[in-house]
Amino acid sequence: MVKSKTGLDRVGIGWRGELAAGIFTHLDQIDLLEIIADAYFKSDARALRPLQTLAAQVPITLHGVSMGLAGSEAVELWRMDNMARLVNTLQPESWSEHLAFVRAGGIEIGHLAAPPRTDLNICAAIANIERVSEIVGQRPLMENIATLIDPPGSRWDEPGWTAQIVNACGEGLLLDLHNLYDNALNFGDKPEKLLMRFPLHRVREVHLSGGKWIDEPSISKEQPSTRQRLLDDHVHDVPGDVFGLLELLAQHVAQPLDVIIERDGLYPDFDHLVTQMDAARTALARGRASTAMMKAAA
Amino acid sequence: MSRITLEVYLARLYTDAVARETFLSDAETAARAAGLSEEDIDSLRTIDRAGLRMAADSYASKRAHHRRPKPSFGERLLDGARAALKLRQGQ
Repeated sequence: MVKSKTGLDRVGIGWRGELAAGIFTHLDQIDLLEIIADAYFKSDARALRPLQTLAAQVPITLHGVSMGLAGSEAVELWRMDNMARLVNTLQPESWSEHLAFVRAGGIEIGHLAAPPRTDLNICAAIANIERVSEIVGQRPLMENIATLIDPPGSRWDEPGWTAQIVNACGEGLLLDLHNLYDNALNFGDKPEKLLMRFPLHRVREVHLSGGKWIDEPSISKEQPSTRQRLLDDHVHDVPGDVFGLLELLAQHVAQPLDVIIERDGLYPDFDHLVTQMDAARTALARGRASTAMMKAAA
Repeated sequence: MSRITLEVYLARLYTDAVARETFLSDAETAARAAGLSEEDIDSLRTIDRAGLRMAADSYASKRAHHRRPKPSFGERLLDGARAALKLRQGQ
């Protein structure tokens, strides 16, 4: 494990093969890398060696996308074993998964879905997280997801449900600010107000990404829709408002934050991604400075 | 009929277009026929119907993406280098 190159907060990017050349030539501007764990679950020890070499040069975190820890069904042992093996081999600083279900009753949804936020679901998620923490030997950071549908049957709102789970397990939160921004705009909340309702003292890591507006389908000819919803697609730049949320977050928490820019396609010149990382650093610095000013004035 | 959970039913609605359209045409009848509890059926009466369609479309697109053959690490690295070169030449 290598030491951080910066002070309190760190900013990095998600490791993607397509970005490898840019990442290697800009390592001096990258504080940490996040690696999608699932992409390497089938890799043998030899295939993992390049990642071990990378981990010796820059701090890494592992990010899982398919466990479905917030599902009401128990996660299969082999999925957790895969993560345990990878964590053991690569020795990341942390690993993370999503507050989502991805399968139920043998049906694979194919992506992260928001479960009905009920007491029963909270208990199941806590049980899944406790079990995987024991098997992997390290607690995961849990990430909020973007959803295009407000999950039916919910008895909790998203911040309350999230707080119940992460507080009970005592683990950290990976707060995806674009997911939060999407959910706020899609379901009639103000992003800043929604942010402040999350258990911010638990945030250890932050994801930033972009998305696009898509048309809402009309449910009937009599009720044509003219509305749009924001889709988190990871192939657009981080919007300015989301950097604003990062600044607000940095203003309200004392703990250091690790920030990851996520980009999954339509890759721009790497210098452009460096400017996105710089914008994140600026937002963090502004938020921290604002807190310092308020403390000095008090 | 044995009970199924709301999560299982949602997974079906997200992935099965026929089940989804049947549900959207008569939610209560479809949910009852699937074996959901009265409480779950009640919660589906006010389901975000546009959101259901949008979420299902989004998941279908993700599944299609997963099914595409993945290029090797080396191929992706080369693609990245070529794209970077092309961008630089265009500047």
